[in-house]
Amino acid sequence: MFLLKRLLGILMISLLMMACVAQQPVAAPQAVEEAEEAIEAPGAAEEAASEEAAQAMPAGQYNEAPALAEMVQSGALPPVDERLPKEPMVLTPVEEVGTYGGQLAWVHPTPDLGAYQWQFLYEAPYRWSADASKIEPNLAVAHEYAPDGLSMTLTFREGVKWSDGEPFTAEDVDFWWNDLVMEPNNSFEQPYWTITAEQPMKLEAVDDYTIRVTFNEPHWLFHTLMASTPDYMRMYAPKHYLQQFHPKYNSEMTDFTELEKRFPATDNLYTNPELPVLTAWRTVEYVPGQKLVAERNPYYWKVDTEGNQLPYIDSIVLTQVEDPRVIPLQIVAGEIDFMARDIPLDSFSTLKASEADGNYRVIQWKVGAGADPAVVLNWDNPDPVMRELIRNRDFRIALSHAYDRETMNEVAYFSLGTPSQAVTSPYSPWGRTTEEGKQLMEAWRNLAIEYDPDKANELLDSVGLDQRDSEGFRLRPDGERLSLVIITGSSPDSRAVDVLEFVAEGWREVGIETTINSMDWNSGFWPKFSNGEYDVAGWDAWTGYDIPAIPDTLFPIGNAYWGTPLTARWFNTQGKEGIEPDDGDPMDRMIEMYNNMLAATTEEERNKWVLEAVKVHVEEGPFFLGTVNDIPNLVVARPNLRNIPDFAFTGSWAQGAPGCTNPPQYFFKE
Amino acid sequence: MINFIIRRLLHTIPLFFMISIVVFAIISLPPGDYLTVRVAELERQGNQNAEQQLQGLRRRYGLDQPIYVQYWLWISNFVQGDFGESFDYNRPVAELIGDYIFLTVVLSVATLLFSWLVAIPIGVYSATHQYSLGDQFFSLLSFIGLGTPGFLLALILMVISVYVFGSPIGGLFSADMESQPWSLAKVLDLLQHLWLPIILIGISGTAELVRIMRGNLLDILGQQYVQSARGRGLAEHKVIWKHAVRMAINPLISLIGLQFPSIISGSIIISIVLGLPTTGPFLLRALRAQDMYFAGSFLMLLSLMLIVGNFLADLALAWVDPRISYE
Amino acid sequence: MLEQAKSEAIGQNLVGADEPSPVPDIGEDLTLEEWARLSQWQLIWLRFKRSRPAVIGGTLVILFYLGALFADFAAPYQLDTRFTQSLYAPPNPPRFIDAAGEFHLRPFIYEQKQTINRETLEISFELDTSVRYPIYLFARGDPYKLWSLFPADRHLFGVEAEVPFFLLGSDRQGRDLLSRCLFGARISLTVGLLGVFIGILLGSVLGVISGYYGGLVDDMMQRFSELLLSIPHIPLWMALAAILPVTWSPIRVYFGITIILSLLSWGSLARQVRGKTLALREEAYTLAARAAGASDWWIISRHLLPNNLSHIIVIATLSIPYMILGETALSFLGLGIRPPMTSWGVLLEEAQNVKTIIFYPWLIIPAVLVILIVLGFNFLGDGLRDAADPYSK
Repeated sequence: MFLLKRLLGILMISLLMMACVAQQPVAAPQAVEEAEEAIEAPGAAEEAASEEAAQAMPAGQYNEAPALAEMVQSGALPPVDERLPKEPMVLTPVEEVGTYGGQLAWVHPTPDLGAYQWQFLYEAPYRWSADASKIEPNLAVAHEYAPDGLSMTLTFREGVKWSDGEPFTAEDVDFWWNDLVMEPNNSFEQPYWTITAEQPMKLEAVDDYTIRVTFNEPHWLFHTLMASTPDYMRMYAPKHYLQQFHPKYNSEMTDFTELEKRFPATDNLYTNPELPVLTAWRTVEYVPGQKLVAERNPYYWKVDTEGNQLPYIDSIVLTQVEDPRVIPLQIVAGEIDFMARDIPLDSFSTLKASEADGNYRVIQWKVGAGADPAVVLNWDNPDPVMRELIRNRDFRIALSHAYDRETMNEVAYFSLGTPSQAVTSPYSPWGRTTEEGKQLMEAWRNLAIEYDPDKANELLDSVGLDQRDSEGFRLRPDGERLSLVIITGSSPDSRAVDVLEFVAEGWREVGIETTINSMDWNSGFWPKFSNGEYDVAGWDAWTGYDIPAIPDTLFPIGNAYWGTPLTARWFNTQGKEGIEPDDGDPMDRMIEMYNNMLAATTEEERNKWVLEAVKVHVEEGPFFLGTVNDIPNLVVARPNLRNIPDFAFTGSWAQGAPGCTNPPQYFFKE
Repeated sequence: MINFIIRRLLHTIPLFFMISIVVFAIISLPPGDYLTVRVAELERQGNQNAEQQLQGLRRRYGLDQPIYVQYWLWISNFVQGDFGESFDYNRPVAELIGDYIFLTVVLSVATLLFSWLVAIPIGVYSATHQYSLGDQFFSLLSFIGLGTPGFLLALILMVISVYVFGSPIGGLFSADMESQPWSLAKVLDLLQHLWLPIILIGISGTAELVRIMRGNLLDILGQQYVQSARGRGLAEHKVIWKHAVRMAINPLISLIGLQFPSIISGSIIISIVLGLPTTGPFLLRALRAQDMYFAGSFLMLLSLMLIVGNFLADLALAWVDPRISYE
Repeated sequence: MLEQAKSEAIGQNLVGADEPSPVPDIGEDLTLEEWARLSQWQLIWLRFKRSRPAVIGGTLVILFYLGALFADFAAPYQLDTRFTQSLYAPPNPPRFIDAAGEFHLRPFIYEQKQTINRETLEISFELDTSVRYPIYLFARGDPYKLWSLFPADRHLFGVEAEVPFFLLGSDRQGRDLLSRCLFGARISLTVGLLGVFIGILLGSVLGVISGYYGGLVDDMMQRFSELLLSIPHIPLWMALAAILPVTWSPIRVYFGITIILSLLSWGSLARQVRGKTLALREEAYTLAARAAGASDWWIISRHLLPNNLSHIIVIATLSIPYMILGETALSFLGLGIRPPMTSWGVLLEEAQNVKTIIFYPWLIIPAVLVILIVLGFNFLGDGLRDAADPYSK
């Protein structure tokens, strides 16, 4: 398990380096990449595609919001120049420099505030760029790995202050690790990316703004992983506030209960109005299950290209709704200012029709998932006859040709998606940044996707399924009727079952008896899926964008994702559980490639192994089948809410959209 | 009467405990517990390491204890007023539930009142003007009301409200009133928003009441003593209201006790659709997520409400109808 | 729900009481002698016939069940037949007068041609009045196997052409709503029946035993049923539905739901039966039977149960709509029947979104069906009750 994490980490860094190296500097934009083009704000003269160029702002005159200016006048706040760090981070507005003011209101359908906390606020030390092609400095400005990869120093921006004015220093991060996480009697767990060779890392503050982390094994991807999971939120632990609740610093505290009330170890973090934060807005009111109100953080450490302190928008109001079906209605009623997730694709025509009345505009981002849904065949099927069939490439190709993706796309997605085989994600960096990668992506996406029942029948006959029973269904080699059950988890606005019905129909047409069994995701589908107790699974959460963060969409090493749960378990438990892959079979080779990649020392070499693995998928797969992908993700925003990019993708939790599109520079234009 | 009350109270206590066992069993029956649900949710979103992340919580929530220990912990605290903590919200259940239960009670009582206030006059009118146009109209209405599940109407009415009247509905308070402390203004605001849920929840109950009222009254109006009252020269409306209706209402009171549970059930579904800050939505989520203390306490409190409601209804019946004695 | 409350009140003789008249007026011209010779059931039938609502209700119910039973035949298409070029088609009623104003004896339809607005993705339909497609009875259509046994391909009605005929419109996959309603009726209507049947079985047997033996047995039964009645039903259903092993196939889930629904209904029935039994226990013939040495079981099965029978039937009839609504509610919440299995609850769940209500409102028609069947059962039950109760007018 921990080997996995280390390998993960190393893989990530290899990809990062590869991405950085492959990324052309400002001058030569990537060819026809829709993503990058959309990011380029049309018509704004002083366009800088990278923030490094604009970073050299003179630390001179800054501007601030009028409300804050008043407070400075009255002496309640120090002047803006003193509130900002030495070199505030500069955000280039997508369209134009904005004006201050306004309140942003939207809704969310679950008690979990994750979508707000780290998919909107997103202040990881390093973070993904808006088009999710690379990792960029954010709160951290520099990092350096030792040549042997066993340690890394991370330098934070100098002079950043907490929302209550106290300085943010490396001591806060030290406090988090050594006084919270490493303390045994609380709920703070070590994030998986801090563990190498089953040992936690060591962390120490080297000076006021630099920390050093030391690993037991080379861990090149540490900073990338840090950018891709919500664990980073707790790294920013305000020592000056929390130490009064910490038993070590305050003898009156017997345990961590008081501290954890104010700084919870899991889930909703920003619910305590007293907690100092580093995000653009700070929570001022929280009613559990109902709403959250946040206001501008006067000490926020970013400015725009003209020196105006961000954010532009004054406050945020988040309301919880219980029934997500009501959301389109609320949008139509004009109650929502901005919303980037949880809007069912189905409601597109409803929303378009009322754009004027409800005073909003509909933007189409992308989900960016590799398959909507994916049809996963269980490589480790407990039934030996089925297993042999599924491990036969011709059988899988036959299954893939047997259903009609074009019609699925039309009926379920109004042709808004693209028929495609299941891939890691159409926007994965490995498929965008090199020629070879692009070609492989093309090849993979188009592998066996034509609707060709004749070919399917032919192939099925050729693998020994040519006997049929009296009702026309094929018989297995052991004489029993070939019968497949597709399990899937149900959710109200998912079209997965609709799409799967087409799959089932297609398979029935070629003589395979197929039924669909949909069940509650958490208590029914997931346990079965992760334990390998199924024939075929339909999965609509296939967000395999980011190889480093989710390498198991490419390699068969994750608990689930694709149908190798037992192989993965063998890998993760070092052979104690699960099934070992046979020598020389694709899984075995891919695991070897994974290990090779982690052991590689250069970016190119790592990328080479990634592409090698993709080749296995293209030449010996498909291992998991796709239907349609690249479907839109609906976003609504007020017509006068500007600086929202035309393109982003939200499917992958790792890269924190819309947070990576920089909400602090959204503004309401008068 | 006092005896009766005491006996009922005594007998309620073992009932209460039995209910708690049933409730707890039901909540714990689905495989796994809150944490497995949470892990599944997080994994679904792509978080690979949810399992380890939440390990520590298992200990803290006591989910690694055997089931009877968990039950005992819960119930022993429950009777002292400590309803445990909600896993989902990380807050004491009492803090969360208080408002919701209160509003559920308000909603249910209001619906009950509404259904009576509407049903009695309509029933009387229908009975006294039997087969008239008005009667036919009301009959038709009540037939439709009988068979229509409120939650179907809910979304339709919401849509109408938005598209036809241009005003959003849903919720029990306007946005700005929501977090204000209770005041006259807030009460008025509540009343303004209550009418829709009340109608949706009460519609079938009201329809039923109308029919029963009508039927009863018709029977009674055909009785001997009514004729003789008329013969004695009593004014018609006195005959109807002072005598007939009073007799007709008596049996209906026993219905209150059974109307209450259906109102509560109805309110749960409706509040899920309308997104009201009452029991419904939170209970559903809590049950699905196996948020043990939250769901368990909810169910217990709802059952308590029912028991109390039944009790009051029986009291009312005994008081009203001299034929019934509980001695 | 309230139906049960009503029955209970009736059982306690609190509602609808009246003085018995010596020679009942049952609308038929019978001599006293003829009347005395009629069996109990014939009497009930005659009284039942008199009430128009009851007859209408009964007919409605029978029609619905027939439709469900013969769904393969009655529906123009199979459950899964889809026309992917006709998504969300509005209802297409049969016509007699064509575009030129001519009258035709045989009803016909025009084809609905779909266009999708690429900007807003709105779907609209236009009638192509150039070709008439006549509607035939007993038309040939999709082949099917009636009750999975008898292959056939004739349907009650249809157009014998490639053009789809959506009497009630089509849904988001281009499936005929009428057909889906008929097939969905199979689940919705039988869940109620099965559930009630189980409920009756449990309720009447337990109720009689409880009433007859009294004492400790009675007490325990009472406590238990009170327990069930004290927990609000919907939350209890929700909790129980969450327990259903989710790995069960949709069929098993269906039976599980049925049992869950029935579990909660027997309590009330048992109470009423018990009440009646308590009274009957002291009747002369019971005492006589006991004095003559009849066993308890004989008394129960020969006297007490049959005497309760009419009452039981009435309550059963009034409980079925409750079950149907329960299934609808559960499926609506996502806890009951799940797609691809279809029931009215599932159909309504699919219609439960803003888009449907505004643009494709015909998908709400299953709600009308629910209302009708509930009404039907209510009238039927009322009629039965009035007919069976010797004290009613």
